[in-house]
Amino acid sequence: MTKETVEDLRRTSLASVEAAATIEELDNARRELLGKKGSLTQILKGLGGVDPELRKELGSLVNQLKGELDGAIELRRKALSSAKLDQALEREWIDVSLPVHSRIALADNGGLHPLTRVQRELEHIFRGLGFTVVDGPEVETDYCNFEALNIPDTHPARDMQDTFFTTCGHLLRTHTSSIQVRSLQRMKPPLRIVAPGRCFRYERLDASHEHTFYQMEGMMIDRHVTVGHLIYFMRTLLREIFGGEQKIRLRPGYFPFVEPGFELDIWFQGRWLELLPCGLVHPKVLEFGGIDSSEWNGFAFGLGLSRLVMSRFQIDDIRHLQSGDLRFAKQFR
Amino acid sequence: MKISRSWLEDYVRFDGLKGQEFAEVITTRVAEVDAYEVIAAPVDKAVVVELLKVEPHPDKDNLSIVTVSDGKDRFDVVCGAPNVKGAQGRKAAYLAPGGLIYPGGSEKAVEVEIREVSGFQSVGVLASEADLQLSGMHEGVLLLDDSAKAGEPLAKFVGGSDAVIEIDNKSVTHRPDLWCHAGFAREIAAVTGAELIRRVDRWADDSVDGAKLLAELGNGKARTQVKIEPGCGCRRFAALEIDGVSTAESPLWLRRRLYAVGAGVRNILVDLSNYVMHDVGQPNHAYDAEMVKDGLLWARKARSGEAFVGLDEIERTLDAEDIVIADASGPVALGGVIGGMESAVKESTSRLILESANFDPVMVRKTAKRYALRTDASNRFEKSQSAYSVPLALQRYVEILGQVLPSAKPAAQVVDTFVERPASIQVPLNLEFVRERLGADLPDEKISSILTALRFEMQPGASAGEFNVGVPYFRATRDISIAEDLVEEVGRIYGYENIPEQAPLISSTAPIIDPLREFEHALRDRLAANGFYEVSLYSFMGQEAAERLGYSSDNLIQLRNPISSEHDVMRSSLVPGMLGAVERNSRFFDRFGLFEFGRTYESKAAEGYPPVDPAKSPTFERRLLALALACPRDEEAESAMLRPGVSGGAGWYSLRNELRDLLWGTLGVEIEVQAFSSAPKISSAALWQDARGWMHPVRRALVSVGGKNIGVIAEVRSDMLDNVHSRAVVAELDLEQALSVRAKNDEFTPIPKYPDSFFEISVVMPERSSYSKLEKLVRGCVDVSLLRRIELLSLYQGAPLKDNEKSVSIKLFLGAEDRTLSGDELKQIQDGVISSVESSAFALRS
Repeated sequence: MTKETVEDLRRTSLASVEAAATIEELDNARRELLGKKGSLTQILKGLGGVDPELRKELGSLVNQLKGELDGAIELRRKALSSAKLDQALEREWIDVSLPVHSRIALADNGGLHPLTRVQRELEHIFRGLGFTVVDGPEVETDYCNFEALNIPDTHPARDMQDTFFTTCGHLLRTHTSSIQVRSLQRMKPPLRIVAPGRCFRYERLDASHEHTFYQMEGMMIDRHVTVGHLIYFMRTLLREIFGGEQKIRLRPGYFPFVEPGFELDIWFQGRWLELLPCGLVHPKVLEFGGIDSSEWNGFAFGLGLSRLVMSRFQIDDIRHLQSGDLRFAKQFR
Repeated sequence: MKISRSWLEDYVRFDGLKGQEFAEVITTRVAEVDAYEVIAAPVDKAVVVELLKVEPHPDKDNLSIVTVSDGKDRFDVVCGAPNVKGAQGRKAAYLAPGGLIYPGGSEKAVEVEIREVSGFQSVGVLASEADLQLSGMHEGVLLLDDSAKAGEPLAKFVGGSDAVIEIDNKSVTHRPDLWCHAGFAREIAAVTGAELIRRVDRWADDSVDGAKLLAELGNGKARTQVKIEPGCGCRRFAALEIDGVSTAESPLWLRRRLYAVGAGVRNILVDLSNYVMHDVGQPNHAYDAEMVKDGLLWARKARSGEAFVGLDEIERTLDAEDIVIADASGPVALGGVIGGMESAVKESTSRLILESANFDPVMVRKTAKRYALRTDASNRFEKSQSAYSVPLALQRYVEILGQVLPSAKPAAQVVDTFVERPASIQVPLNLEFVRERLGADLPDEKISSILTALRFEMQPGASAGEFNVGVPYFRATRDISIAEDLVEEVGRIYGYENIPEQAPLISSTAPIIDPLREFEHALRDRLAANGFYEVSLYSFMGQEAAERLGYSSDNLIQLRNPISSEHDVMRSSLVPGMLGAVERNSRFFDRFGLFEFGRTYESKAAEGYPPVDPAKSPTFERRLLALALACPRDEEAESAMLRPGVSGGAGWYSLRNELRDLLWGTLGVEIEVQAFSSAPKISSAALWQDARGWMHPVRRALVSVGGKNIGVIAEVRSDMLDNVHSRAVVAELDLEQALSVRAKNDEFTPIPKYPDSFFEISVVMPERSSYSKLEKLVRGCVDVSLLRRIELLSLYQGAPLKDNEKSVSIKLFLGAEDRTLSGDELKQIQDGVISSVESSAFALRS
């Protein structure tokens, strides 16, 4: 037995794997090569009588070949089963243009996602108050998400929001506030906008943390806007959402893009729920948006939509919202 | 960060704020309180006892039987603490049955009982510091010196219970002055109107008085030499040598406070450094003076590649942008971040150099980030600590050390190098502006008194109501610079709840309606009404998995910090996520409909789309609708129910019909579907022209309107789904493209005055010829103005037709605007149709 013996076997065996046209043929080829009486097995057995030096060398060659064959067989098996499936699928031709009008019955009545329900309700409320619903990109620039919101690169407030970055130098917006400067640049004051949408934070998932969540940004720019106005709008909003006067608490909150800045909490099921960061738009943000801050000012808020949905429906685990799980979806009609 | 109430009471009395009210006030006026906790509550019930007799337990070596007296009665306590042995006659902390302890500092309290312990009755417990939540110490029971008398309340000697609030650090990101007890005390004083008992800020006074106070801390010429390399980021550096020190254990009151705020303890020299930082906010560091070579402390930028071993015993190779404090041989501290291991205080230390310095916040922040080394010091410096706070740490350290370690004395004068004194800040303020922004009618005096209480200086300006407001040094580093900042100060201390809500007078303009949003909502309602459930799925997908499904990696947006490899790129299609949802739901259901409205993200616009406009979006974001329908794999019966003669594709047809109805109902357009195999040439088809790997080879079609491609529909190959026994059909629709084909539909056509005529024909076609071909053929030979519609009557396969043939019967409805069609006209049209069928690849069925 020599190296050539193994080399010959490599050539013929790989060819026979390639030649197998069906799964059955492939199985046969496998048996003939690697089975108890297979040619490769025979060579391995034959090694016993070979000179130890050569045996070592041949042994490693044979083992290498065995690995190679396993891989080739697996590859071929995939190709064959895919081809087999192709053949079966080919027989399932249908006339896609056929005017069939009815449909199969679905078991249920269908339903909207709870986020949609609440978001839509809010859109209606704000439209009634004269707010235009706008949209912004979810993959954002550092400028719109941070810089123009008075959060320069070196600001410790950057750490308040763990951020997903893309390799192309952008980021996934960490809040809907990124819409502020885009709107200020596009629209002329006075303006009133809300922008519901998806946001991202780099967080590990657990029952109360999601890397994907929803907020709704709101902003009103006019002349002589006061904290009293902000309170009025927030109260109106909460009255509409929760149906009736709510116990609320406005307390200091720090966000570099508002001054003064607040957190608005609502008394919900026996505890304060942090729901609405808000404040008067920082003059720097107005300037970034090309608006004269000596003439115009305004308020902004960022409503935690996911959080509102969770408390509204008493959902115990935030991960349900993005799960696509029908057992969850079916509860909302 | 934790703040202790009893510590605050060093600075200000606020007895009016009971229990949680204290946390409430901080929350509504100052910063967010995450938690309020009463600690060391057992102390309030503990008493001093005398250990009358300590006898070993007859069987258990580690136990002692201690007879104690509370001055009135005697009890036997079985005690395992080693330090009671030989402590006969000493005083100790005792809790009688009914009290609560936290055994060994555990989270949960247990009630003290009369218990049987190894054959002896034990009444009450002798408590350790940990049992009482005084500190982490549990090596023995708390022994007191002889000044304590049996029966006296323990609180008299160690202080009563305390309340601790945990501040949400994020809420004080902008307030370097609030990273300590003195800072919170100042706020409480402003809110309650109380006077401050101790004014630490007088040490920060940069006037002659302040310098004098600093100079008086020690006498004589210092051996320590301080150098600051210009531009290195160190803005002030002060050092003080202290002699006669030793590393004794800190007194209980000090350990108690450090324990309350969650800090560890080592020895008095190190603990005090820590204590001072929590007390006045100024980070500081104690070096063993013997280990500072040549007594040189040199603040400079690190040499790139220089090695440094920190107190955490980790060696780091430094960057040229780090600030170091070096002695004659190399770095002894990473400036503003962490001290060095070699130069740190150790047991043999007898002389120390105390550093109190100020560093550039951005550089400290970058260094802390670079080494993922966030320390109490770096956290404070990155918030922009004032350089004027530097003397505070020296003063407090010396003051307290002198009380607890009388042998310790400053060995020389303070060496203080102040590189550049920050200018004071004046903010012009019109009080009317405050009222206007808040929307509250605050009197001038109220505004002034609030700002004054917060240590702002109100200097009257040119006219009434105008002021130049001097910002105190501790707020002047970044926090307060414009009038709006002062509005916040007044508003929060005044109390936002006192501001009346106010309906604004605003111009009543109608909001602009976004047609795309309206379109989405209309589609949603229809889908939900038709039995589909809305889902919301992640914006990420796995690049590898997407490739398996046939999605190219071109133009994908990669995440630099993905959560996992299954979510490492932004999705370029909603389909991969939707297939996942189908798989997961198939474990519980075999027939269902799902839909998702979502975005896809790519780095470049797809063919047929306008290029990315950075003014709108930095990447190519599309808004899509994905639909999925799962139905049982065996579809024959159901297909036949949809229409006799149809042998398969029930799910496919159902989803197609869903799309058709959706677009007809919302846009008034009729969709066309075209199988992929026919290689369609449709404009802007780039998104879907490649058959994806997941698609069934002969059940996939493009969806278009008037020649414009708006979506795709295909059955999913069974080998692309794991453990799914249903058939799944998926469709994806580009919503902006779809909306652009909305029918105008604003022109009325008069209702025909004359009745329709009709005729039927049956055609034999090859099995795989599509119905649309027949319809096209017929339409091509009938005058468009006369053809009202074509209806499919029936399908048939079987004898006497050949195996690969089918028969299709259709009915043509014809009519004219101005007349009833005559028999001749009808015959002529019918003959025309028959002859074109006969001259085609089809045959007329007789």
